[in-house]
Amino acid sequence: MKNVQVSIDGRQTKQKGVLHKGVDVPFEMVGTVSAAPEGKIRMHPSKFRVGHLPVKGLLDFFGVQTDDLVNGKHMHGVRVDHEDLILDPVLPAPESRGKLTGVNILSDGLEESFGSTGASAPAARGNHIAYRGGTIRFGKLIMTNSDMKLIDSNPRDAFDFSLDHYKEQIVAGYNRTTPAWGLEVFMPDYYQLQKAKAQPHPPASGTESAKGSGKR
Amino acid sequence: MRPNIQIHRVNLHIDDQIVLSVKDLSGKLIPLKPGEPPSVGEKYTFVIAVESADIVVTAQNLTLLLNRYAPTPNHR
Repeated sequence: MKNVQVSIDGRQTKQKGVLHKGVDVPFEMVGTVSAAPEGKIRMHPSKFRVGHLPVKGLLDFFGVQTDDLVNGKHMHGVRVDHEDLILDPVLPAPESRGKLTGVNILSDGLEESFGSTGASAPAARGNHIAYRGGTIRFGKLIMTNSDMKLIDSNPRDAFDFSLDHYKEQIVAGYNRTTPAWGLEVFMPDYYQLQKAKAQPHPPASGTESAKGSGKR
Repeated sequence: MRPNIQIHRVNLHIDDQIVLSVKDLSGKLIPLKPGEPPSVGEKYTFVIAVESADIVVTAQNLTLLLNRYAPTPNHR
């Protein structure tokens, strides 16, 4: 499959794309999603078109043989159960492992629940990523019995955190040590850094307009 | 002892285009290399064993995920 486009159509998801089976054939699949008992995503198609050709079912669509399905050898992360697709809720790194227990279709996306969700503990308020116990590495530091919290310095909206650019966020922020030797790292949202980068730079020092600007 | 991780109300950029809205997450970090601690922000040094989570993925991000990380046929 390629050029896949996902959209939400009422209480169903719609996937459009191109299936490469010797030649490229467009397909469209509309259906509901739910959590399968084994903790995976079950997609049940209610409408299914492949080009202008009739499709008997998902088995024909994917061109797989029953013994492949039984052996689980044909596709990685997906299998067919009667007329439904069963997908691993796998995400790219950092890899996460957990049991999916619910899927809700929202107006513009999916809400996935893992394990038993509920209100966070009172100590967990505020937008943050917190580490406790065990040993972690943080740049050049190694913290045993870890107690570190990355905190949103702008809590009015969600904490925008980039795994690939977190160092820039840390450099632009500040930290403090708690009385229990914990570390609290306050950092700006990633989108704010991007916005600041996109803005024109102030004139270099020594130019007329920069003279006398003094302290920031 | 494995470090606990707790995330609350974070838009997590897992690469330069894909963002997951993590409303809440509790779990443990499992180092990928035995004897080496997980490194915060270095996503290939650990796996998150999720105990509970509530995550929103927009249709736009699902599109990106499926095109970039979709399940692929095993080539035997």
